[in-house]
Amino acid sequence: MQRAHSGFALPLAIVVLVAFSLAIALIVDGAVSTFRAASADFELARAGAAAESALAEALDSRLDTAVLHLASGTVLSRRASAAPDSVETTVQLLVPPMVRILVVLHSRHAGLRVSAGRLATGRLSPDQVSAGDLRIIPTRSAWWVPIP
Amino acid sequence: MTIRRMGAVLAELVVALMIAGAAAVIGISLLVTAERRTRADATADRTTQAARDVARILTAEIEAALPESVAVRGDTALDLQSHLAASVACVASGSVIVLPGAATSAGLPFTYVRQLPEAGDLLLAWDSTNAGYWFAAGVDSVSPQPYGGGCATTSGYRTLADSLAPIATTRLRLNRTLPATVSAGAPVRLYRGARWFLHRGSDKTWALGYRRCANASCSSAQPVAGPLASFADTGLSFAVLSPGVITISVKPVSAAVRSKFSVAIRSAPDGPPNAPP
Repeated sequence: MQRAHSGFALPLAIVVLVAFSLAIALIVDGAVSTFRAASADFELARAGAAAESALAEALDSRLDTAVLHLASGTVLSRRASAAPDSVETTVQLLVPPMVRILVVLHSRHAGLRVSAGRLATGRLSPDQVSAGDLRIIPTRSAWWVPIP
Repeated sequence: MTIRRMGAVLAELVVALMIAGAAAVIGISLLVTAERRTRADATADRTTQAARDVARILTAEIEAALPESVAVRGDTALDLQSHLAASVACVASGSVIVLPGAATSAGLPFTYVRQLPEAGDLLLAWDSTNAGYWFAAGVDSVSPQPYGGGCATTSGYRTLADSLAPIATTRLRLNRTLPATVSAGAPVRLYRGARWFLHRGSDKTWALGYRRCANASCSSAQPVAGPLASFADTGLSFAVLSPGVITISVKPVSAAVRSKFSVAIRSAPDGPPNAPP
């Protein structure tokens, strides 16, 4: 003799599972929000630091004396990529011997896209170590600003 | 023979109801705990966020400020010349200076604007005399110039495409005559006097406050980030613990501990000597 049993086990299991899932989803959602905010702050700080390094590198680089013969307003630009960053360094020639150096860094890491830019003002001066080269000396005051 | 039984016996029903009740109690208590935790996390987040906002705003302000203008007043206020724009003079003549547009149709612009300049702001223009210095003047008036205002496409600072677009330049009339040695191509910076302090609002809450200042007088205060702990609880304080470094202490209103951070004033280490403006 067989008996077809119709109890509450399955609906009960479903209700319990849904309740547990909801509770876990709430907890995970809170944790993910906090993690995202912290990650964005961290990535912004990291991009800012990387842009600072790129600017320091640009200020340490040497330019050929031929740039002194280029017209005011001439723009020299180069781009370098090293995952997850891409850096564009631009030298804008102003009234001789003044120049502006712009560094714009774009970073894409862990689904976050951040950018950081730095602008420095300096003057070109003959390099004492390497003849025929020019180095960039930043103006003492108001030499540096972050750019959007 | 198969006997199909309809419904449940009473014992089954009681057991099922008890299990369902227990599951509901556990589920609801879990939900309540999760909701409480989420609420506590949100409050902690808001508290941390207030400290973070204050740190981010003041760090950005101090780092970009005119270095010699940064001064701590008492221990709850900070005065500085806040950075507005970095540009290049396209025209420099008499007491008028024209800056290229902040947008360009190709490449990078020569002007970066954080806030639009207004009358009363401070302009610095690089004078290449000797080793060079920043010539300082007040801004008397600002007017956009859709057709260039004399900034020609031959100057190198305005492209033909920008002229045809047309992308407006900015004409500034200054309260001083520019020296002849400040010419087209001179780097230009614009600043605005500002005071950051612990502000008490009309609703009696404390926050990081901002005042625009010019010629030793400041405008009305605006709350910018908070809420912070009260003046008595030192919600915000500034100190110069070492030369060129501002140390800031901030305590959000519901925080148990205060955050401390330091910001270095960005003076170039080896620039040419700078004559006083």
